Amino acid sequence: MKVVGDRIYLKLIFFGTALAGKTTALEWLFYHAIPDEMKLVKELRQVKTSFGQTLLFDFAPIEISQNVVTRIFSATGQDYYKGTRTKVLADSDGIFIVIDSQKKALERNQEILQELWKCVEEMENLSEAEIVALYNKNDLEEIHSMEFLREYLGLEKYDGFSTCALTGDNLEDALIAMLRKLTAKLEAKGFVLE
Amino acid sequence: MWALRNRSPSDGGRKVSDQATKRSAGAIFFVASVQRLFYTRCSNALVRLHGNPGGSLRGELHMKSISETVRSILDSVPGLKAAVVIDSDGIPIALEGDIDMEPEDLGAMLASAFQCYQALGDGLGQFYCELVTAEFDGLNVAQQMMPRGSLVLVAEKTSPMGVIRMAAKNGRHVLSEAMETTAEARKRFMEEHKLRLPRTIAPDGKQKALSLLSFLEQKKKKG
Repeated sequence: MKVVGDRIYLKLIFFGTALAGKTTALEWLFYHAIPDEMKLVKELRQVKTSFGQTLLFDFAPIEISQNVVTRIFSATGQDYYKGTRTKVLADSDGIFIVIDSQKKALERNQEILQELWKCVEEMENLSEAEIVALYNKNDLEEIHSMEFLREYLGLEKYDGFSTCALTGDNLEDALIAMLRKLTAKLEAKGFVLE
Repeated sequence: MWALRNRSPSDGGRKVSDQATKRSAGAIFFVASVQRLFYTRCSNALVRLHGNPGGSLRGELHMKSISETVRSILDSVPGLKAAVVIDSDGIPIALEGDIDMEPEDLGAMLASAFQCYQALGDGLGQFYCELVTAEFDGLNVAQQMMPRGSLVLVAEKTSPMGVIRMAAKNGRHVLSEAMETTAEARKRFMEEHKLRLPRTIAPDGKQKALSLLSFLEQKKKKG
C-alpha cells in the first residue's frame, strides 16, 4: 500500500501455474464485473509472448473507491520467465492464488505454491498480503474437489472459491472477499473509504 | 553531436579537420548551455520550495517540489515532450508534458521494463542498472534510475539521444533529494495523520456510493 498525493495505491496479483486461468480470470473481471467508470484504462495492458501467453504481466488499474486505486496484475505462469515473475509479486497487498483444479496439474500447483511461500518469506511486507484462493476450471470433469485441494495444498486458512474463469462463476464473490479484506485493513489503519 | 561521437578514444591522435573541430566546439557549447540552464532552473525551483517552512504540510510541499522540478526539466531541454517521475513500483509521482497514456499504465510499463533490465544486469553480474534508452520511430525515451524510483524523459525524434541522456542524468541529481524526502513524508502521512478521504456529494445532496465493493455487493443482492 502506498499513498501518493491524495491517492492510496493497492496492488493485487493473480498468481499461479501456467494455463491455470489467471489472465482469463482478470479479463473476465475487467470486462464483465468492473464498471467502466472505475477503469483507468479502456483495455487490459498485456505483455504477451508470440504464442499468446503472458510474457511479463497483464495489468489493469482500477479506481475501486474515490482516491483508492487498485493496480491488478496477473503474473506470468511460464517457468521460463520465472526470473521476472517474482518481481511482479513484490509489494502486493492482495494475492489471488489461482489453482488449476485438474488432476494432472496437482504437482505443478504444489511447485508454484512452494515458490510463493518462499517469496512470502524472503520479500519484505509480502507476508502481510491478503490471500484468496481460486480453485479454477470447475467446469471440467477430471478435476479434484475444492475441499481436497484446500487440504492437500495446505490452503485451509485462506478463503477459497470454486471458479470457472471462462464463465466468471464465483469470480465476483472472490473479488468481493478480497475487497472486504483490503477495506478492513485500510480502515484499521485509519482510512475511511467510500 | 556527431562530431563529438566520432571523436572516440579509439581515434587516438588522428588529425581532426578544422570543420569537425568547430562542430565539436559548437556541440560542447550547446550541451554545456543545456546543462547550465537546467541546473539553474531546477536549483531555483528547489531553493524556492525548500525555503518554505516545514510542519504538517511538508510532505505536500515536497510532492510539489518534485512536480516543479520535473516541469523545469521539461522547460529547459529542447525537444522534450514529457517528463515523468515514477516510484520504484511504477506509481506516478509527477507527470509534466504531453503524453497520450494513463499515468498509472505508463508507470506500470516503465517500472516493469526497468525491473527486466535490472534482472538482466543481475544475470550478467552487474550491480546497478543506471539508464535505459529506447529509440522508437517517432520518439526517443530515456529512463534514469534514481533512489526509490526513476525519471523518464520522452523526447521528439529530432532531439539527440545524447542530450536526452545527459538531461536524465542531471535530473537524477536534482531529484534525488526530493524523492528520498518524499518517502519519509509518505510514511509520516500514512502513519500519523490517518488520512480521511473526501466523499463525493451527489447533486441531490446525498453521498454517492462509489466503491467497487459496494457496487458488487449491491449487484449480488439484486441477484
